[in-house]
This record gives sequence, C-alpha cells and structure tokens, in this order.
Amino acid sequence: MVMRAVVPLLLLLPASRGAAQTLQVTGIRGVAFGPMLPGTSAVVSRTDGSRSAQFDIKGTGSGRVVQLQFTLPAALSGPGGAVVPLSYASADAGFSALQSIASQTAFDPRSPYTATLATNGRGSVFLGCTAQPAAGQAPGNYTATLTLTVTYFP
Amino acid sequence: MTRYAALLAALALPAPLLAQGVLIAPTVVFIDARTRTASLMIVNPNEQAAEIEVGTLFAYPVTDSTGQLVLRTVEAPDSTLPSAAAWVKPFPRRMSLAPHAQQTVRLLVTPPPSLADGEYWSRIVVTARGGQLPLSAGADTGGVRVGLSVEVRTIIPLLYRKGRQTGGIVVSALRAQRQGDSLVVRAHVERTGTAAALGTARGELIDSTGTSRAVFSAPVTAYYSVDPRFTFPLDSVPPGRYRLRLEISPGRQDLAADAIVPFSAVRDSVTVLLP
Repeated sequence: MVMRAVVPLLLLLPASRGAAQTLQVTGIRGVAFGPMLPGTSAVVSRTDGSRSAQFDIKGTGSGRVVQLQFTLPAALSGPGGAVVPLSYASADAGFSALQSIASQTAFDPRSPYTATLATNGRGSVFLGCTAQPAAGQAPGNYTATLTLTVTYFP
Repeated sequence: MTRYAALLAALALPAPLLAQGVLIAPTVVFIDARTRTASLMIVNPNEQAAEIEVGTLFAYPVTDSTGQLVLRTVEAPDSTLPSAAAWVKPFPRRMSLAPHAQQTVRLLVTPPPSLADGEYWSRIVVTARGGQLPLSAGADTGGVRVGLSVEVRTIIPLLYRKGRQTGGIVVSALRAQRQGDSLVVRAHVERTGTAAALGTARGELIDSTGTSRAVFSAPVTAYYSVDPRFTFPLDSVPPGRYRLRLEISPGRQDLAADAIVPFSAVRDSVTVLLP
C-alpha cells in the first residue's frame, strides 16, 4: 500500500521511543567535474562546496554511531567501451557532524569509516575525486554510479 | 566543435543530481518468536521517484585495531552462527516510491521448527536508486555528455528473540593514555548473556580530592566481544595523578527501554598519570 503526504506525520512521532527512531540518508549531489583538457587530470576537492559530492544523514536522537562505506566507480563509462578513469586519494572523503563543508574530518573513501552523528542526529559526507581523460578521449555519454552505504550500529 | 572541445564542454558542466534517498523507521527491528512479524516504514521525502529494494544479510559489529566499530559480514553463515538472515522475508521486496510517498514493508520470520531458544541476528539492507538522471549536454549537438548517478544503501539491525533472554557483560583490560589534548580509553567488553548487550559507557576522571574533572558517555554494543575506544577532552585537566572510573550499564538513549535485555552494570577503574 502506497500512501502520499504522510511524511510530516511520521516526523512528528516522538523521538524518545525506539519505535519512532528514523534514519534518512540523502544523496544531495554527485561530483561535478570542472573544465578539463583531454590528457590532463581534473581534480575535485572534497572541500569544494559546489563540485564535491554530498550526502546528508538525518537521524533522531543523539550519539548515533554509523559506518560509512563507499562503493566507488573506477571509471565513467562511455560509448563503445570508452572510459574516463577515476581515482581516489586517502583524504578524498570527509565527514562533518556540523554539516559544514568547512569543518570536515578527512577519511579514506576506499575504506569503511565510523562516524558519530551530532547531538541533533545529523551529519554530512563529502567526496572528491580525480578524473583522468586520455589525450584521445572519444566523445559520447559518460556515466557512473556512486554508492554510499550507511550502517547504523545500535 | 572538435571532439576534444566537446568533451571539455561537457565535463565543464555540473553533474546534475536531484536529491535521492529514503527515510527509514524504525532503525532497529526487534521481533519476538510469538509474533514473528514486524513492519518497516520507508518514506521517499524527495521530489524524484525512487526505486527501492529490501534485502537481508548476516553481519554484526566488531571493533578494529583502533577501537572503531566496523560491520563484519558473513556471506554464508554456518550453523554455529546465530543468523536469521535466511528466515526473514520482506514484503514487498521491491517497490517504486513516488515523490513524498511511503510504504510499509512487512517482515515475516519463518525459522526452523526446532530452533533453540536464543537471540538471532540479521541486517536489513534498504537500497534506494533514483530515476534515470539527465545527462549534461555539451554546447554542440554532438552529444558528448557526462552524468553521475547516486545510490544510497542503509543497513539496520534486526534481532529475533525466542524464549527468555539473559543479559550480561564482563569488562577487562581497562587502560588509558593521553594523546594530544585527549584521553583515549580502551577496554575489552565481552557478552556473557544470550542476547547482544546494548548499553552505555560512562567514564569519569577523578582527581586526588575526589573531584570529577572530566566525563564522557558513549553507546556500547557487544554482540560477541568488542574492544571499544572512548575519547574525552582534557582541555581543563592539569597534569597529575587521576583515577579513571568506567561504568557500563544497560540502556540507550536511542532505544526503547523495553527492547533491551537488561544486565547488571559493571564497573572498573584504573590509575592515570597525565604528564
């Protein structure tokens, strides 16, 4: 059964009871690559407020501990098997309990990271990466899927 | 426009993405053997339809060498592990949620008839995929375009209980060490009851006059055993000799009291020298 327009009712449930606890994970934006030249790597920093990927976590209650784990695409896939390789450095991901891009704790997106959400149950995750188009990169549609897994530890 | 210029133009555009993801309630599912069923509410709060898939796996939290909680996943749990993953069936398993719609997912448990009393574990995996994202078009009609989709996966615990459960933990190897402007506390916590221990650790640093100089509180979870790491700031604590007291008691701020199998609080203490 699918019901509409009941989100506000769910959010009004008391937060002090376990049965009313909620967890919301939202992908806000993907990585936006800026101008790049064929054959020249393009780097997006996790602290870039308009180009880094951002995920928001919103829970009820305080002191929640979650594990963050990315499934990272190795490349953007294009026409005829053409790819634009992507790479990730050890500090390319960041977590901010304040949900501020200016106040992040860096972590390696290639490994699981355990984070404690803020007392209001919130936090944000940011990701940057590097794209490496070849000198002879073919034109076409290039796509990839970025996955963030959030595991709640009770 | 050359192919290189077209690629440049396309990659210069921001990757389009409408917000994707879902809201889940509750965040821990407890199921009793007398009812063998529970409900999970999944809400799509966004302006874009979402494709949802609900699955199960067997996993439980452990701590790594640094004391961080990590999820240990067992792909094919054998009979020695208390896995309920194979018995839990979500209905529906797949769904499409319109913007601002919600769906109740019923979780039915069909355990083996001869199942012994105890607590059995699973994890519920909710995967949310957005619709097909529009690709950024290049300035020319050559159609060199780029897009990045986002998938969000949320994993929450399910605990299935049959019969009367007992709770209990033991704490050992309490130690503490100053690291920069913080005190890092480590301990070994082992579950002794039949149910996972869901508790809260409270630490206190006491000076020679008996005055509390710093405190911390943090959730503790022991499915088997864990070696958690607690940290509390020493900003206002001068060098000297202190007593660190640690207490772990049942109960959690984020869980209903009647969902927790009670256990006797345990306490330990150790002398700490702050240089």
